[in-house]
Amino acid sequence: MTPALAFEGVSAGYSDEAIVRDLSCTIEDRSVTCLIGANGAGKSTLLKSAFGLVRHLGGRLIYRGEAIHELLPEARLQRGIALVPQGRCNFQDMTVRENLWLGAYTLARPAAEAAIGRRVAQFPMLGRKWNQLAGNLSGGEQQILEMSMALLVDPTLLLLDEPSLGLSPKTMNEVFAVIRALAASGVTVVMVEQNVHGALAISDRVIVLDLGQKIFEGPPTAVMADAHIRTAFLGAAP
Amino acid sequence: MNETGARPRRLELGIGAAAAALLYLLPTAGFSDYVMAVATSACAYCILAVGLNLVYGYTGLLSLGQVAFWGLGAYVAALAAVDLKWSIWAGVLVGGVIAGISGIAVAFSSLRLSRHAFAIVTLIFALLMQLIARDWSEVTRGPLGIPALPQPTLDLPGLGRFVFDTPARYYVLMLTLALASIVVVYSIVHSRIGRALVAIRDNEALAESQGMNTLHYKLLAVGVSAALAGLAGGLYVFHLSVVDPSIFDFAYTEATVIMVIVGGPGCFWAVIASSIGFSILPEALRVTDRVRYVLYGAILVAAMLVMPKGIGGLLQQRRIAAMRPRPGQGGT
Amino acid sequence: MELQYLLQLAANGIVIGSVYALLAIGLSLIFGILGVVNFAHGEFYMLGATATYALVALLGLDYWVSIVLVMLVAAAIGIALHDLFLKRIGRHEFERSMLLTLGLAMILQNGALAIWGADPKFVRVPALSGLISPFEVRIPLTRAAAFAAAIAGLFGLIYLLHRTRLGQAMRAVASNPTAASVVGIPANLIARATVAVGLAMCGLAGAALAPIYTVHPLMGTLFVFKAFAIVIIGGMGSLSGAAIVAFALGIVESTVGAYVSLSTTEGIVFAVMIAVLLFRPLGLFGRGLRV
Repeated sequence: MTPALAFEGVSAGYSDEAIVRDLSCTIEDRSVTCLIGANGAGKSTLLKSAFGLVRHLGGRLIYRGEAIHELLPEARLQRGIALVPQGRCNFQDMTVRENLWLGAYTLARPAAEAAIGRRVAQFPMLGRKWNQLAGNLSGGEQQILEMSMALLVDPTLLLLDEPSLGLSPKTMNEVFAVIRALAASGVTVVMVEQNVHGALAISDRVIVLDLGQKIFEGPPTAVMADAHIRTAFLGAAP
Repeated sequence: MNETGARPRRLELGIGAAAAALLYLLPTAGFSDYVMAVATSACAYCILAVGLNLVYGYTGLLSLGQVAFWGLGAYVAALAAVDLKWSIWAGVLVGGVIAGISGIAVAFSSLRLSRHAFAIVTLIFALLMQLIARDWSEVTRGPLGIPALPQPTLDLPGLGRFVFDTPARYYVLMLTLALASIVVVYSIVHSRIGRALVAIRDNEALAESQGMNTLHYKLLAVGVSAALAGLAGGLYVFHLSVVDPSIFDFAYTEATVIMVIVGGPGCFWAVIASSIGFSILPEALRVTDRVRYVLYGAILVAAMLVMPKGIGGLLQQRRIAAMRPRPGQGGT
Repeated sequence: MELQYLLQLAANGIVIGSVYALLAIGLSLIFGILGVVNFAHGEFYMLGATATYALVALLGLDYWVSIVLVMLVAAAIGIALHDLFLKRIGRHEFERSMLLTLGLAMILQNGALAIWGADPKFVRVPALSGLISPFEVRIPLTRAAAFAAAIAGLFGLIYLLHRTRLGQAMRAVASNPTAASVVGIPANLIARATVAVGLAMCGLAGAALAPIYTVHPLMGTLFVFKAFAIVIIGGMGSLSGAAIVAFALGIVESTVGAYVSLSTTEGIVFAVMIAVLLFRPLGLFGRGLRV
């Protein structure tokens, strides 16, 4: 297997102060990777550093053989990397239609139209709420909207920050099913998830972060087997 | 951000006291009236800058209305002396109190919203004050202002009456107020209150989450700095011997802001030094006001682009950097 | 009091209000998209008027051609302003943006005074020397022309924001900068375009008012404060709110200003602004965008 994305000694943060420090790991192509760790461990920062939303403070970021850490977000998007940030990251005072068109901002008009059509076919809710403001949708609907916006460009690497945050158990399962289906269709997925048990069930690999550094990496079974990590991050008994 | 340790503090105070003593001896050096007048205005600017530093440097609130409190103190003191026939000292004091109260009122109303609203409201408050000074002519005498203000006198028991009638004598008066302001602000910023102010500036949410009533601290900072500005304005008009709406000139705000920015917001001594420097600079430069303000503007722009923390901040950063090597390769 | 007279005053106010709207919307756009409070906004308006004077009175160019030229130059200056200065300021560095642009305003205003002096200059446009009198309200052609230019500018802006890809991207950045980055909107290019558009509106405002008022280096100072007032009363980020308040301000100034002194009117405007901030922090028409 070739790695889709490799962090080589990456440091990143919001100011000069590094939150992710000297972190190295590789993300296998066509895999689902789950980042876990305590609050403030640097999971979101790591995810955003892959998309270029935080300040790059050192190290290299290699995407399919190309160094991308100096590229702007829009350039990374063009290379097939898409991010769905945590919590309601859409255009609240614009309609679903406008949100989707903005999601397809980097596409030419016919391609955008086709891509939007595909997503509306996949998620009929989008069509039903076509002219409603995004801010008036429910949490689950907004999550679907945001994932649809990210998928319009047919990314090969999808970065998801807490996709199940604030969702009802039922919607949460739907979202996980969508992620699983994406992975099956060949998209590489990296996600940060608080709902560790649900996430591990669909992950191929787990990376555990603490204080901005990687403290463990392995398949979900290995994480479950590690008593220390289990008590620290997964809650006492699975 | 705070200077640490008791020993450097004692050293700081020793140097400060020695410098103050030297400054009191300045009039004996036989400088011309012109030089003493410049020194007097330097003292006034110093008070404004130290006050703004308390509000912006330590508390993180950009006040663009210090000139409003300064002018308010000036008008109150002048009117009290001319219309009410009060003693000048009482007028200056009341002017300071009124300025302080209005500062708290402006801050209370705008800070409920945001620090952005505070900046805008202080600015508008200053403009409003100038308009009132110009238009409420029944009280303020309108655009021409109140001329021929009396000179302050001090009756010393057994020594007779002392009149502050020369620039050198006035300088001693202004210097005393400046030193008093420095002492007041110094003790605030080096106390528990000062640490609270810095905590608010650096992370207000965190300060609040620790149970701090941040609004009270912010009001205190604004109130003190407004009162100091009011006292300074009140005392200074009797040196000018006239007060008119130009006392609210936005140029004073610009000059004070430059002093704090270049000195370094939150750097106590550097701001004092830069306020003195920028008071003397125009006299040394001998250019027209226009060219000077173009220069000031350029300095402000340059400071914002390359050293938003001022010279003092730059020095501090270097000191910290020397103590603690940075992890990683440093930012871009 | 005569109705005719009131109508006359209102007409004058609408003309001035339309120009206020240009300035306030530019200020609001730049704030909404860059998070920058542009203290130098009024100075660019002053430069627009001065440039119009140079083109029309000194070079003898056609007035309408001059307006277009002034707008183009202003847009170019906007690009330079963004690339040299505003680009370096983060969205949340409110104080830094204010102080930086305050410095620029000081340079521009005092520089203009040093170069051109404080004497007011007059822009005479021979083609606009007449009057039109609809409903017996007499409107000088210069004012009618200013109104036409300002309205054209406003409609141009509405078209830009709601009918073009650039405008859609601008609204997206104002609505949620992170989400805009996520969908691949190039934040820098949009910010640059925004400053260019905002300054073009300053240029247009200056050119529109140059034949009505006298042109001098201090003309922009009060305007920027008024534009602040309009933007805050209208609700930061609400462009339509800014436009409504701008027209209202123009009319109030013109009608009330006929009975009390101009500075009293200005005082009232500022007092209203403070009152609105205190009692309706989001402005009269604000929907809750950042202050």
